Amino acid sequence: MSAFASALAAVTRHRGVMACLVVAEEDGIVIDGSAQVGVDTAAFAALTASLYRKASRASGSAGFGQTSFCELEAERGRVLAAGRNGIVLVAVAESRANLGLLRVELLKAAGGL
Amino acid sequence: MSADIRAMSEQLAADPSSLIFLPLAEQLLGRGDLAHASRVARKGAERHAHRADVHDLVARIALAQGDESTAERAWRQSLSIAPEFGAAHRGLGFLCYRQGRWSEAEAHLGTARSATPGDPALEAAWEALHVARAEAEAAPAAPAVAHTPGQIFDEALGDSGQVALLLDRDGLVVAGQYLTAEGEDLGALIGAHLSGVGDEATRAMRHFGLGAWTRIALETEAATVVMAPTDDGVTLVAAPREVPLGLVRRTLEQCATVARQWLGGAA
Repeated sequence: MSAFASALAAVTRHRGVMACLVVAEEDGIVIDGSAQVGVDTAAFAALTASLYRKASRASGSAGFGQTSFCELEAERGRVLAAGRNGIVLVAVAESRANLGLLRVELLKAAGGL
Repeated sequence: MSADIRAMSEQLAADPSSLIFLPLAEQLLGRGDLAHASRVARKGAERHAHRADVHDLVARIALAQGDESTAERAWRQSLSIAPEFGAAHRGLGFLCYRQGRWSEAEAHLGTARSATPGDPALEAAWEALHVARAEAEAAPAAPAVAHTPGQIFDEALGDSGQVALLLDRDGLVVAGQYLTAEGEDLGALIGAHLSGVGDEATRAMRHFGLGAWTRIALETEAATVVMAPTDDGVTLVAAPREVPLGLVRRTLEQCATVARQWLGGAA
């Protein structure tokens, strides 16, 4: 069992979650994760890490300090990311997923990264 | 659950690609079971994304749920598939009328009236639109003073400590302001840094297959920042961390509506 297994399990057990990945913030490499068949984990990891990195730098430059959570909502789903110590926990979910619950779970899991 | 709904649900379960979801979601909408109706319609829209009537159904359910921005997006999706689709023009006409977007309301209602001449609801809306528009145009000019570009969001923001900016595609401030306690406007700085996040999101969405992005939320040490695409730019709301996220999202919706109205008026 990997060091991230409990964090991943805590997120993926929620309804509507299609993938949960542990990703290196700097280069978007997948460290660990689980996903439904058909989800392109490498693309999600790389692009979400890039978005998270950009958001962190932008909010830092704008004087808002470090970013701890990022949510990207789209027409047919949402991507959520919570980071700590250079590692980002990424969840890809359907629109029907409970955002409040997932946010709390991701922040809790990210606290243990 | 009625026998009809049960039978249609079973039929849909047996054949998920069936169009039975259309009458099923209509019935659920009619019964006020909006969450269930929305789930059925959205799933159907994923499978039958090329059908204008499916997006119209999604829009009507979203509107019943009070989600005007989703309704508008769905109707625009309908029109991108079938530009003359009367139901979508009718929906957008009513929506724009409710939001005081008179020119857009007139254009959409006019097209809808041509599609279904004599529809009493459309005729009533058409008449009400012209009365409301005439009243708005006859109103004293004083309120316009309060809607200078820097102040257009003041009413939506209230006293909650939140700030809002409308940025163009290059990250330049179009409206709104971000005043510090010393009275310095940091809008240009904030906009320049944060507008790039929207560009990054657009780039990512091309690969995700989740459709266009509709909202970004960032939680940082000092603030919660949310943004939504508005025309070819972005509306951005920033709030102190103690303001609940749900309230910030609601404020964003209001500010995006204000921005669209203002842009419509300024155009």
